[in-house]
Amino acid sequence: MTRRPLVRGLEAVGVVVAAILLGAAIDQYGQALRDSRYLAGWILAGGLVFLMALELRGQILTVPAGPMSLWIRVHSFLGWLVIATFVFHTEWRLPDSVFGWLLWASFLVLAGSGALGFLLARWIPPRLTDGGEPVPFEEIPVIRAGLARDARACAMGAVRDSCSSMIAASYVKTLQAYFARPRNLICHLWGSSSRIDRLTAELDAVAGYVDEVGRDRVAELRRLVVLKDDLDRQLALQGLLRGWPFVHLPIGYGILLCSIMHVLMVYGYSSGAP
Amino acid sequence: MTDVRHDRRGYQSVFGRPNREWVCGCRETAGPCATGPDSSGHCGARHDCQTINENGRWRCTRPESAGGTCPEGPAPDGACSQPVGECLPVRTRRAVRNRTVLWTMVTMIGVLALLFGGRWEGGGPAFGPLSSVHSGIEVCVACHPSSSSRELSWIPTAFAPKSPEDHNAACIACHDVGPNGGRAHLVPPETLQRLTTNAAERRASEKDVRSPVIPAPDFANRDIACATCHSEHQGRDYDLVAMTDERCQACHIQRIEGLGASHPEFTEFPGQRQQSILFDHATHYRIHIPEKFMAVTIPCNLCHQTQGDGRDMGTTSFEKSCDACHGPEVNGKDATTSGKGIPFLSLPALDLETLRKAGVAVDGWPAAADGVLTPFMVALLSGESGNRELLDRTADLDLGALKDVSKEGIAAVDGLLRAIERLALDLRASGAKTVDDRLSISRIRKGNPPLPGMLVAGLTQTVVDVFIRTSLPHLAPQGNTETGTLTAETWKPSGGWFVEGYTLYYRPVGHNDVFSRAWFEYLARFGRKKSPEALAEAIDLFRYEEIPGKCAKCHATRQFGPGADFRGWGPRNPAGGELRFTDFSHNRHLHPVAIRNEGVENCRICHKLAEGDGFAEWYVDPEQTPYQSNFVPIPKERCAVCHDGNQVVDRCTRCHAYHVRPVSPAGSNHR
Repeated sequence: MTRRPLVRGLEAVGVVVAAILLGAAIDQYGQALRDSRYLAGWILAGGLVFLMALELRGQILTVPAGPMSLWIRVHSFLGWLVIATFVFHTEWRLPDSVFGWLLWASFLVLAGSGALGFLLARWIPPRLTDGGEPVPFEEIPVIRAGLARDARACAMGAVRDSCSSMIAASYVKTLQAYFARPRNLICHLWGSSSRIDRLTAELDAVAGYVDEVGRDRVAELRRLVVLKDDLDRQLALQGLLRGWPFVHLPIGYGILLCSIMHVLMVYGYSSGAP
Repeated sequence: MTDVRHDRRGYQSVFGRPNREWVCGCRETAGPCATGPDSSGHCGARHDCQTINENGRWRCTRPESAGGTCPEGPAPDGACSQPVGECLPVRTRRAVRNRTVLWTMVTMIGVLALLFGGRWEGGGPAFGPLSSVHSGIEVCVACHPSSSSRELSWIPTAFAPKSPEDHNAACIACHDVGPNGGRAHLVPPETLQRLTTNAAERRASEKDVRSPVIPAPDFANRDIACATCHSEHQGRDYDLVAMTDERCQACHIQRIEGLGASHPEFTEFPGQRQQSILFDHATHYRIHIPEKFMAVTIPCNLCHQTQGDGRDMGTTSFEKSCDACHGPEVNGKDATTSGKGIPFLSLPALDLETLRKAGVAVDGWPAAADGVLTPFMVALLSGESGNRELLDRTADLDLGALKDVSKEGIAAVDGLLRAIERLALDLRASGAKTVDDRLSISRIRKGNPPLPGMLVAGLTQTVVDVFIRTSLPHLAPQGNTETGTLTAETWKPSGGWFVEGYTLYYRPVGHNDVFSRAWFEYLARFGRKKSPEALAEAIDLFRYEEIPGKCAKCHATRQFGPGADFRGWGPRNPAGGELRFTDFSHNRHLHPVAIRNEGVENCRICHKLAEGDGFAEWYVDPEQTPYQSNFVPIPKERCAVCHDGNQVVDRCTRCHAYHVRPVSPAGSNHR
């Protein structure tokens, strides 16, 4: 067993053990004639605030505060514990008020997006490096524009060099739209290569009807198509990887607002249970 | 594939700027410009470069990454000759994310304002529905008086300290929980302290004691909120009174695994306490119950029946259970003539000769008088100023032999005789008012004393007149010299006042007689301080003397001893405010199956008579003999036959009641 699966296994066991201990402590608190929902609630609130520290670390902190990978690892570990605490806090029951549903649904979205991000962070990065270094996400449109320019120049040059309009016609018919914007994103998520295979097959077919110079142009176009396809794959995977925080973060801030209101209400309408 | 990545390097832009809010909008067409947008999102590019004037000549500064120096070069005025089109900058991913956060929070604030901005009803937007029993409550302030339903006015209350009393006030407004509503088990603080101390002492010697990981709050010394156990807003069908064994054992830390396992033996349950009715079950069951009853019914049913909801086994009335045998004892039917009445006023035997020689006026006092001061006389005499000392000084004197008594003693006797004469005359003149004056009954503010008229139970002036003419003729009014002829047999055979010899008697009319009861209650409640000797003599009189009444034969006189309180006449009344930790229903256990299974009468399956005569010995000599019940404690195995957790549950609350007194339903506490 290599080191990474071992660490991940230990982390999983740690989460389960910590959740069991946490549940036992909350249960004991309730058995001691106290309202365990208060304890679970404050643990939950503290956990949420601590989890937000990851965001603050990225937004605010300028002093060295340890490697980001460690922060993310702690964040995911605590995230699972906070989910368990939420279950203890709600006592496995669905809410029965409008505000309860708002809190419950918000947390569900928060936890769901977090869990999705946790899985994506393990599934996507190895695929991004399948062909070497991953492309910086912000550079993808720039690179795509460059590829589109080169492909157009290549196709137009073929008309001049080989005196054949087949390559240009093929470019106008299929490749121009292909290079214009990201394509086949869903297929890339599923790992399907059928579209690119069909496209390269069309180019190979064109190569049979042009002269030697034309075949060089087709080969160049084929290289650009493959580059564009890899770029689309990067966009699809990185878009997913960088997209889930767009749900996770806003709902996290929103749930903090709701939690403050929830705490005020609970204490404002307290019934006296210790 | 490595080649593919290598080939792509040529397309990457030089300036990433991902931490800025805006990026160039041309990056997806012609590629981003070197200048980029400003912080407000406006395009900053006008030309390919910013020309530089060096030594009077303008020089192109277009970078190599953008194509290098342009062939045209700057214009004479220094303007770049390569103008570029203005683009629409776009936000960076980070900026979009921040705006998403911002708008989500704005939306959330709006939703919260909509939810909490208006007036609420029922559980409001934040709390679940009330349980079905409280579903009629429509406004929050009914249970949360410190929190108003006005818009957001409840927020300050979240920071206001509140005690359990504050929280319980709303519950107690509807539910009558008695004077100790805020205490654990509704038990008075001192009782709870005593029970806790006793439990702690027992615990020190027990091994099945666990140390809780999280101890419960010290509810022995502080109030407990109702909501500690009764949690509301959990839905219509929520069981408000559900209680787990673990929560019981938060305070009761002796580990109880089950009734049959580690539950303590019933060493004092039931009937190990002294009862208010002194009834020897062994004697009655083995000797007095006729065989004919044994053949047709369960003998216990002769006297016992379940009460109310069937939880408690009560006793039937005296008339139904006892009168057949003990009625004559009470009303004197089976007594001799002299024993048919309770002596109320009686002239003591006097050494008239010695008294006369000493100059004491004893003319009219009968030489044949042979009575003693009755407890009623002692009590009434004590109520007159100065008589208390006289009674003390004559307490040890034999009034029939006063030869060796000092002058002071003779003077005390003289005073006592005058006091008796005044008592007789006062009774003749004022009747019940005399009793009221002398016993100060009207001034007693606590304890619900009997009415003065009950203490003389219809005593008329005529009767007192007869007594005076017969016993103290020198006090009788002149003129009418007829002596009375009211005797036990000729005047009131069914009860009432009569004169016999030199004594005024009262004959009880039967069980629960007003005179007997009134005097017994008065002496029991108030006599210990005012007339202790009268109390002691009355107990003897009502118990041992061969006179009717015999109240103290069955009604627990031992409770009148030092430090004890009078608890009333009847048997234990479970609904009468007694603290009960056990909630046992007799009706539920009197199932015919139990009879068939055991083959013996139902009650004796659990209630087994004790061997020996311990109860009888204690009854005869209570001072020297410890109390012993007629019944042996019920072995817990008897209960565990069914309550094993499988056939019938053996949870704590199956048998134990948390509230030791009934908690009235809602509305019963409304004034």
